[in-house]
Amino acid sequence: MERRHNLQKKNQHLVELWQLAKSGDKQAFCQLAESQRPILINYATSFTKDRELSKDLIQDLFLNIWENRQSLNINVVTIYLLQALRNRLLDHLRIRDRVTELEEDDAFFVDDFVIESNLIEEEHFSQTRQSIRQALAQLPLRQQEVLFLKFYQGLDLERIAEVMSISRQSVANHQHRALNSLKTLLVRYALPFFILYLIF
Amino acid sequence: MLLSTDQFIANESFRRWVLENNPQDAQFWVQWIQDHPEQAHTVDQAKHLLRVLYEAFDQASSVELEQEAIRLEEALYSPTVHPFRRISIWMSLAASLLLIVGISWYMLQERKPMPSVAIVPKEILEERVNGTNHPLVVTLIDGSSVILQPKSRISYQFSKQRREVFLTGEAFFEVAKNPGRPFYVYAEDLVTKVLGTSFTIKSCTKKVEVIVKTGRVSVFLKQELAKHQQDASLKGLILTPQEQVILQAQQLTRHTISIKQLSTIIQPTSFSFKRTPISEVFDKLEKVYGIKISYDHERMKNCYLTATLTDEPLVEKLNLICQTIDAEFEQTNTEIRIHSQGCL
Repeated sequence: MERRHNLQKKNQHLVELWQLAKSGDKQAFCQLAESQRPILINYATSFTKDRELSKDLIQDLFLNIWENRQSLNINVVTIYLLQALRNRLLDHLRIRDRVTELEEDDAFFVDDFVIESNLIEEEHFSQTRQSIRQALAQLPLRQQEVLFLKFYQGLDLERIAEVMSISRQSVANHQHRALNSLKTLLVRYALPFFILYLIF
Repeated sequence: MLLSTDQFIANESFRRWVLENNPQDAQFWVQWIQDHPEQAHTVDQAKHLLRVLYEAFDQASSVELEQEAIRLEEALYSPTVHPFRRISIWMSLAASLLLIVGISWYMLQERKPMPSVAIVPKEILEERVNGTNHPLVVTLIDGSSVILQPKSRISYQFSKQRREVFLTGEAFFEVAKNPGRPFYVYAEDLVTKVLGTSFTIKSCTKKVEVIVKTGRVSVFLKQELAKHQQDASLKGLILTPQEQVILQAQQLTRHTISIKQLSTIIQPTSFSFKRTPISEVFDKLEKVYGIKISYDHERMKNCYLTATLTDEPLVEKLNLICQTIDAEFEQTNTEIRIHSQGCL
């Protein structure tokens, strides 16, 4: 399939913006940031539900990239940003929670924050989406991360492994466990129609 | 060779079909499914799974995204003055953001043989008419500002549950945010419900145009008002930034307009200041709002302002300015008076 080709096309555009940014074009950089921001904000929910923290770290990341733009080389923009944000989140949370991370097991980060509800967003929540989000939030964070990178971002096994700095096999394991856990959790929310689709 | 669900989910074209309903991809996949009936079940599975999980992860609201976009711009364009933590606090004070939404409604001649009458409110209302030939600013008791254009009229009533304004003509609204008391504007057959935004409504006999500059708006026809009030889940037509809807011959069509185009339509004035002498700041306010500001020019000659105040109601703008330069303001019937010891 033409999967690779299309990924390259998207990235091509982002790299062009990045080249402009490198030479000082603030508007190009802002456009770049705007296009990637939804991905990053949504990605961060696999690490913490503290929305303000996520946004602060993303802001930090962008400013840092801007300040160091001349010495930075970025080939695949989205992957780079995901990795960079991941590192920041882990560093910050590690310091905050003093938990060491174990990639091979399903590591838990203590996360005290309840899923934030934005008043405006709530208006558009359907019952099903709410239930699925709640179920997802109960999965170990590494599993959430794999599901995000796979379904939301559409990355394949290799790319996911690259972002998470783990092996392809670990990714496959996380995914397998994640979908099984989801199945179990969703029984609770009585969404049998959805469970059917998880059987593969 | 049978393809797995995984392979579909990772395929760009498949994703575009399922998530964006892209016509070319749709055409391809519909045909492909016909050609590979043995894969129909897998495709269906992948489609459903992808859609549901994508939506579950899609949490960033457009409001948030705009907020963060502005935050980054601020930091890039004025790095020395605003450390980003302070911006973060300022942003939570700001009631509105730069989402731009435009709607045009066309009233059909056939449907309205008589000149249309605005909804007539039952109780006695406060009313303001602008018979002058320059804009007139009206401050409502909740802090919202209305810039009433010449030959326009508003009447308004605020109750515990809601804030209601009836408009004939053209006005620019800067609504103070209050989710507990939604703000309704009635103009001709159009009802606009807002939570905290700034927008322009132009109502003429044939056409009602609502152009929202910031925030989010849901719009519905007057005859559906009762239905909407009973059933809170009915949201009317909600528009996303850069979209415009036209009602014509009972057909709704949706258009996209560029931000550039919109910014020329409404409030081309921006309130973005960079080390601007306070006299210029006040001059601008006077001009846009049609008010008089009196202050001690000599004492305040060293006062400068660096801030972006667009889309705040007038009172909020004055608050923010005074907080920044450590001053106080007083609003009388005829003017705004600034009290300050001066700036260092």
